[in-house]
Amino acid sequence: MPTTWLTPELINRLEALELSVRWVRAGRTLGGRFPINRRGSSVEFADYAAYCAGDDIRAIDWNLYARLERLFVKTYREEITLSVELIVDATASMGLPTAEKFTRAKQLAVSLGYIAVAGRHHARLSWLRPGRLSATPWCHQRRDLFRMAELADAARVEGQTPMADWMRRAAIGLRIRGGQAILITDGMAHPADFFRALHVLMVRNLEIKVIQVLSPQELHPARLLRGGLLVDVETGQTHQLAYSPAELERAVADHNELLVRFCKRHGIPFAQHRLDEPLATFITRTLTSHGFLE
Amino acid sequence: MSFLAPGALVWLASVPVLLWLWRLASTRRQALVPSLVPFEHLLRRAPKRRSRLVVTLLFWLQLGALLGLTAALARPVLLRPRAKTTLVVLDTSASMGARAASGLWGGGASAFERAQRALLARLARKAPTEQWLVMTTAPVAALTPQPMSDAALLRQAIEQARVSHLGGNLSTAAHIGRMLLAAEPDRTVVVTDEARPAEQTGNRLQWVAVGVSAPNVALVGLDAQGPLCQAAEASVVATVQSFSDAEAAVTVTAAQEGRRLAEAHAVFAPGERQSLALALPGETSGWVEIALAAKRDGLEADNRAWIEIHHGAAVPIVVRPHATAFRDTLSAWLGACETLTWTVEDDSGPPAAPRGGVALVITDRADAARGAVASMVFEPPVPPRPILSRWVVASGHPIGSYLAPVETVAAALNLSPWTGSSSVVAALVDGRKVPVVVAEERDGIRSVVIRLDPADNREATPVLLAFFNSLRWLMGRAADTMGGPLAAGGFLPGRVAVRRPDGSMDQVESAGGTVSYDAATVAGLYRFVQGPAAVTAAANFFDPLESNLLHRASTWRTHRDRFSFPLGREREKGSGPGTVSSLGRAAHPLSRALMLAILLVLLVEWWGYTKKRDRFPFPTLARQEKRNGPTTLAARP
Repeated sequence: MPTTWLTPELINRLEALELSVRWVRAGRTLGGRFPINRRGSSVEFADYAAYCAGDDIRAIDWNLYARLERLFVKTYREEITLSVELIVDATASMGLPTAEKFTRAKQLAVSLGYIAVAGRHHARLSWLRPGRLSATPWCHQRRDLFRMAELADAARVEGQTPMADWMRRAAIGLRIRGGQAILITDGMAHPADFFRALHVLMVRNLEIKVIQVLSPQELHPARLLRGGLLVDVETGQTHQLAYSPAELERAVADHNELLVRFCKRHGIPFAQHRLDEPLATFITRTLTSHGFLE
Repeated sequence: MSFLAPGALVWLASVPVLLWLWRLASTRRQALVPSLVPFEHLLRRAPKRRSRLVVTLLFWLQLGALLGLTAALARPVLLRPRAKTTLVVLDTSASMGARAASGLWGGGASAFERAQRALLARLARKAPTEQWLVMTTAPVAALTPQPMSDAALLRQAIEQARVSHLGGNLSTAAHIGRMLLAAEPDRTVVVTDEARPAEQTGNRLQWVAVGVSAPNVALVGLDAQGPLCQAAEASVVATVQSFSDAEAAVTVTAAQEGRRLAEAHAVFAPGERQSLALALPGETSGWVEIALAAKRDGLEADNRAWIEIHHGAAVPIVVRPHATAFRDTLSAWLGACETLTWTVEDDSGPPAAPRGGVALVITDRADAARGAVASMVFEPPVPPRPILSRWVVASGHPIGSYLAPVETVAAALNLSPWTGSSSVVAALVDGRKVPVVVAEERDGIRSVVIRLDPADNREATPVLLAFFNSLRWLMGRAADTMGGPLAAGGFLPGRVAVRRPDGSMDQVESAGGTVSYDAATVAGLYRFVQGPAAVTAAANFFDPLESNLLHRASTWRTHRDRFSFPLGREREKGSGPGTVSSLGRAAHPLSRALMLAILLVLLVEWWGYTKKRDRFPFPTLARQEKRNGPTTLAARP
């Protein structure tokens, strides 16, 4: 995956975006668990709010009072530094039906990583696959982006591993706690395994977001699956395909619906990315509308 | 639709084989998928094997190709109403150039122009699918290479047709047209100036008569006679016939390069034929044009002729006498002409050719004339017995020139029976017509037989006239007539350009130095040119049948030939492929179209297959192993 896809135009568009952070666990910079819209004490002006009893009178804007004869207080932007975990599914299913699926997943991860770093957060990529845990170093600055992209380019799909097991190992091995976790996967796992994996992250008090990357052929398998013996690339399980096109499409839709419902029930933003949708459009519009970015 | 080989439909049994092969292929194909997890509830619910054939576009293409091949092997034919075929016989003979005599109706369109208009009007009413084959009569040829229904092409061909200076035969053209069609046409249209034949020809013959019944005077013969007795006696004898129903005053002129050389006038009774002699100036040599002018003349083509005058030494004469009296008589007669070159040969041994060329032989022994370029044979009676008889002279022959049509002559005539050609001069003796002078021309060789004793009639004027006229005719040359190829020699092997009388150019191949030009369809002078060498030849139109515009002889004969197809049930027993199974229907074979369709289907199938290979994103196990090496499928957790 050469980094030619990182064009100056794309980077400019990424610069304009910010990770949306709904809540954050108290960490080194902040203590406790607070809603993200807390009025902070930084120097960056955010907005005006009507004065309520108990507000700091030093925040009252007297000029505005002189004009409107009403009391308003200034609010300031809270500066929060997050740890953003970008977890990319690197099991064998991500390499089918085409290698483009995994490539797109990596591009998404790098793009989101840049957005995070540009917003003064810390970000790293980790690969969900069997074997040793692997992740990139933490990236703190914009110039770390290209290094991140190179490391992502070298990653390959391999094998199969239960998602929940990996999460448990990663939570300990990679010391995942606090911050945000964005899982980029095709969702081709048992729903129960998927739910358990997200639960591990929830227990760790991470703000979780899920992006499902699928090819159009996976969403409409009946167009191309014309009989024969299907072989699961991860498990090796085989089955004779002899179903109607409607049955196949319904099965895929039901499976995806399960994942969506779980995420919705637990307040986890979920976005589905089709490979035929341009990457820039997905990032700037879809992720923005789904609450991933702002 | 019908099948000529229905047994081939047994190949339909291959369709189940195709279905079985597809089912086998589908069961054996292995496709790697990201996961079977989404389909787990399907796997639990449905049995592993379901009897359902999953078909694709490729399956339908293969099935289509198989069915098409089976149909093609069964040789289908589509029975459709056969397009009507019309045989058009367009008379292009010389008589079609006739116009109503000028002065009476002011000229007007010729018969051929009216024929073209009538034909074009019919063409405008032609059905789009009706096919026409247009045949011309002079020369007999098809205007289009094959029957066609394209009205524009037919119109162009008809408009480009021209009348020729040849005689035509409608039956011959129709017969050849039927042969070209290889079938009896649905309709025959004859456009001609001949009257419709009286015999019943059925509803399938349509007769379009465009004839012009007009008086006509025509040149029907031309003979050049070189100097005979005096150097200045070169002359041309033009035979003219009146095809008029009234007296016709005729003027015949001889001209060379626009200069009038001689002129003759005559008045012709209705139907009369005369030979008019035109005395040419002594130094005249080369091509001379003879032109005829008459007040009521319907056809222009027969009013002009060309002939070449050779002003040179006369043909040497060899006299081979058997009897002494014959020798003396001939010596006296020939001695009277200064320009004649003659010798006497004894009749012993085979006749020797004179040095330097061929000779005209005059003899009283028939076998002595062999090998001569021309011959005059006397057959005197034995013993000679003078008989008083009335000589009747056939009009129109140059030998009859200056002889009275009927004349009383005392001469020793040979009264033995005669079975040869008809005579130019005949004697009426005891109620019997006895030939006296018989003239014949065969293969360019002229011969005259005079059946009297010249020694017994040395001074009789009619005898002398007959002798000298015969001698002149034997030494003369007839003008070339149309109908045969024009010959010209003296060329090198290669192409020779031909300038036609109408100004157009043509080319002909010279073989061995001689060219033979077959396309002389217009009367006039034809000039053959090859570099510095140039030869002129003339084609003259002498055809009394065509010149007779008042009473056109019919050349149409109702045919009863092998192309008359039987009707009714007998037609269904016709042999050969594509047999018409019912009256008026033709079988159009579909095999070729089916084979092309099958080829197209196979091409689409190949294209679709290659596209499918590119688009099909789920690789097969074999392809995956080929790309990445043997695959060890992960064990189930």
